[in-house]
Amino acid sequence: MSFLKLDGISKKFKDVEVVKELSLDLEKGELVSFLGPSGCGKTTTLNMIAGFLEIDSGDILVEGNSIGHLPPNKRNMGMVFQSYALFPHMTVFENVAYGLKLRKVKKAEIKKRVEEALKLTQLIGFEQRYPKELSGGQQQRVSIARAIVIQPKVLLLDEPLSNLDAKLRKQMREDIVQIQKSIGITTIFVTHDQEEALAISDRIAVMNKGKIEQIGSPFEIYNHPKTDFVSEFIGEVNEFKGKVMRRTEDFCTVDIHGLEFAIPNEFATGTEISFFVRPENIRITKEKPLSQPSLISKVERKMFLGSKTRYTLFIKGQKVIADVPSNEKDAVDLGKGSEAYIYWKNDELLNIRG
Amino acid sequence: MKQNLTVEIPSQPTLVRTKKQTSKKLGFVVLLLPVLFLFLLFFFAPMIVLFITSFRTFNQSIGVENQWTIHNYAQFISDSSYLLILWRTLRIGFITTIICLILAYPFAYQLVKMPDKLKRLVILFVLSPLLISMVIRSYGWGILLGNNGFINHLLVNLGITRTPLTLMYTEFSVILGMVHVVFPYMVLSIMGSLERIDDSLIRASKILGAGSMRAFFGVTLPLSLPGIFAGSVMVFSLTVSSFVTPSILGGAKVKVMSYLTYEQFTNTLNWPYGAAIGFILVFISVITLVVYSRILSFSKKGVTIQ
Amino acid sequence: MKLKLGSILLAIYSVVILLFLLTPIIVIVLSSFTETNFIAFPPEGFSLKWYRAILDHPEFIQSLTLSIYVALGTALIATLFGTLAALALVRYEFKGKEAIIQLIQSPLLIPSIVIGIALLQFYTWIGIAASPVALIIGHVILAIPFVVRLVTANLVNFNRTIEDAAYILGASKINVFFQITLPIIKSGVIAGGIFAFITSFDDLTVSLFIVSTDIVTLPVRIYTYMQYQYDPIITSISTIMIVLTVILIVVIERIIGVGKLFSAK
Repeated sequence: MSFLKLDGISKKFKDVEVVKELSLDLEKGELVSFLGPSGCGKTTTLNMIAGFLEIDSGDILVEGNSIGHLPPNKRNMGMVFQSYALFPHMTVFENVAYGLKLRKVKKAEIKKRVEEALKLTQLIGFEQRYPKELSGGQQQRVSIARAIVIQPKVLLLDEPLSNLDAKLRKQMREDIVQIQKSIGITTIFVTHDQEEALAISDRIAVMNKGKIEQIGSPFEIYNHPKTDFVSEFIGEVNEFKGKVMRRTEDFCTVDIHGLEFAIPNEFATGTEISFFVRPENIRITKEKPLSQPSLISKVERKMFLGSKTRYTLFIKGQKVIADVPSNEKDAVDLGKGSEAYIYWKNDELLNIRG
Repeated sequence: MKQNLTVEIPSQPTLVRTKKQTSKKLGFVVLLLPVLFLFLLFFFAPMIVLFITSFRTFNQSIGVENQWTIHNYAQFISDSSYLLILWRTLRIGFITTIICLILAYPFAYQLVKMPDKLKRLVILFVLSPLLISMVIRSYGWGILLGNNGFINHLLVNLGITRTPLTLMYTEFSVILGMVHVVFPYMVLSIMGSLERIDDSLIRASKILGAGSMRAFFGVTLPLSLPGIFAGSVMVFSLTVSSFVTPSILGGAKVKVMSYLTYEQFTNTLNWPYGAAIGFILVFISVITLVVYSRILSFSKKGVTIQ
Repeated sequence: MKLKLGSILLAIYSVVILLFLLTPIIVIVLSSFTETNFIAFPPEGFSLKWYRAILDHPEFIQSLTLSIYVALGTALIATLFGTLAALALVRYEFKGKEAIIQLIQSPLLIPSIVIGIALLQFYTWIGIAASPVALIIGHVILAIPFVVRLVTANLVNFNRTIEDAAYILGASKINVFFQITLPIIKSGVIAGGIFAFITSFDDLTVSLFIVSTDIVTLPVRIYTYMQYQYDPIITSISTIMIVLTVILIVVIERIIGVGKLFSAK
């Protein structure tokens, strides 16, 4: 039995279906991200799980118990908001203690648990400070402490890191995963930042237009995207098109930009096919590779991005983006206007379709 | 203590609220009920009743009668002595507004440039008189302006005049008192406009070669027009409606509309007539506001820089 | 050099203006210490006799007490009603909202003398005699537009997600209102209350029409007294009013600042 079950939940806003019969099972202790562009329904779904929005149809179950009809203050969930939403008139201690006070926990017990939560979020010493005296990162940690101290069944995070600067974001997401794993709480993390989702999730639910396009581990999502949307949304892709010239048992020979490539698939001759290749899988060489077909291209731009160097190349009018580790000597020598050969490995092709 | 005439309450997006529609509807009604009850019963209704009364006839011995008439309004419009009072009221309004404007602008200009701590202190001193009863403030001027008052003593002792000047119960004393009362409002209004002027506009004009004078008249002044305008409208409206100050500093000698209303209601007891005068006053107030909004919507919000 | 002269002149001008604004108040306060039996400014001698004289005029004390009592009542009711109304207006959408907003702000547009006579007639008509309650009602009408504005200013900037956070932590709607919402809008509510108090305490025009032998507020008492007599007791009782008001001004300044009081849009 799954720990948290979303059973075909839907939500309509003025005749527009924002979430369409969404179903998902979460295991206890796992961290699932809802990832998608704005408007895909991820925040709406989260708000339905929290209880801020009524579910039009379907149900939500926690450990087998239906909670879809309960108001937010009866669901025993913890939530962390993008704007932190700390109570400005209360100290850090009082903020974190608030949920416990509502549950009529005894004073001594409150003190103990608040201290534990603050320790976990590295906020010992901040008890008497007020939110306005804290930095963004500190406020977010108070927010987390406040959510987990009540020992909720589920932890919901609504784009918690979006208001922080890049470096802090990276640091905080590590902290969040660490906290989450140490208390083993089932967590849903809403974000539009794919790098974030890939970095911290046990599984990612990629959402688009109210539906989950694909759910899987970060590795699966990235390397085996099932739909066009997922391939294009996660990471970047180059799209190649060609026509099948002839066929053998396992391969078809495809004409791409005048050159013939063997593609592992079984399309009939004459079919127009297309596929994606990620920039980091495009290989560039100055000399023509001997063992496989390659395309001649012209270097249009070279951008040094730190650990990788990004080349923008043109083949017969098509723009191709290739990422090369900056310490590979061969490729680094190429400047604007020079010619290069590009090729790929067959097992790195994505979404081959005709 | 009147304030800005237009109010905007922006609607707050109710993000994600649970609860069914019915209990939500109930919520706001309960919140508004007390105010609405109070206002409808003790403000709206009395105003309506008063308005109706202004159309009733009045008999010295019986009092307010049951007949309809527009005589009260007609009487006012046709009687030159009453029209004189109306004109006097308006005139005092205009003069007060202009004097206020001239006095307040340089002050507001200076205020805007002050460092924060000083600004806050000065604003405190400028606005505090507003919180002190108008009776006290007007009376204070009364003490100064009397025939045996400080100002006259000064003038006579310095040899500027031989006999004391009659300063009290004149239009001068009323205008002086009114300017004192409404001055802070003008300052606030102009200040609001001035503060909204982007500093870089002034700098831009200076880089283009404008001297300080030019920058002021070409940039600052035009851009502060909305504040000047709004302040003037408010000050005019307040002055025309004012009772306390004209009554104390002008008395029966310098009767204004509000005093006339008071007289009719308490001395003559001709309530219908008093009501009519009162509503003519209301009419002036409302017209001022309407004209103001019309002009505002016709002209552009900002002023283009030449 | 030329610039310097200009700024110096402006600075002097500003000081003169400030003195002008404080003049009548200073005159009243200083005059209250005169030894003479007539009003003198500058005061002659220094004496507290006109303060002692207040004790011989029980009607002034009675009026002062009435004024304070009525002002407190006004503050309480205006704040309560006004805060609830502001909550409704900021947080809900409904038909007729614009009209209600205008209705609530309209006492600012109507000359207060008209409000005074309207109330007098209405009270007479439905048979309400002059009483503290009658006064409170009139003053509340005058004060509510300000209370609503001040509380609205606080509510408009209120991040409602904070209330969501309280909900999900287990708070009931009532908990949220009293433990979260109210404390956060506290400054607007208190400022509104003090402003309502002052509006009531200072008012003459409406109070002038709600009078009886026992019911005479202090401003009305001063106003009528000064029409028949011209002695310094007026200045001493006025000074007491001024002192009371100044205390309140200091409180307001510490809570939200007097500037904010008047610029609440």
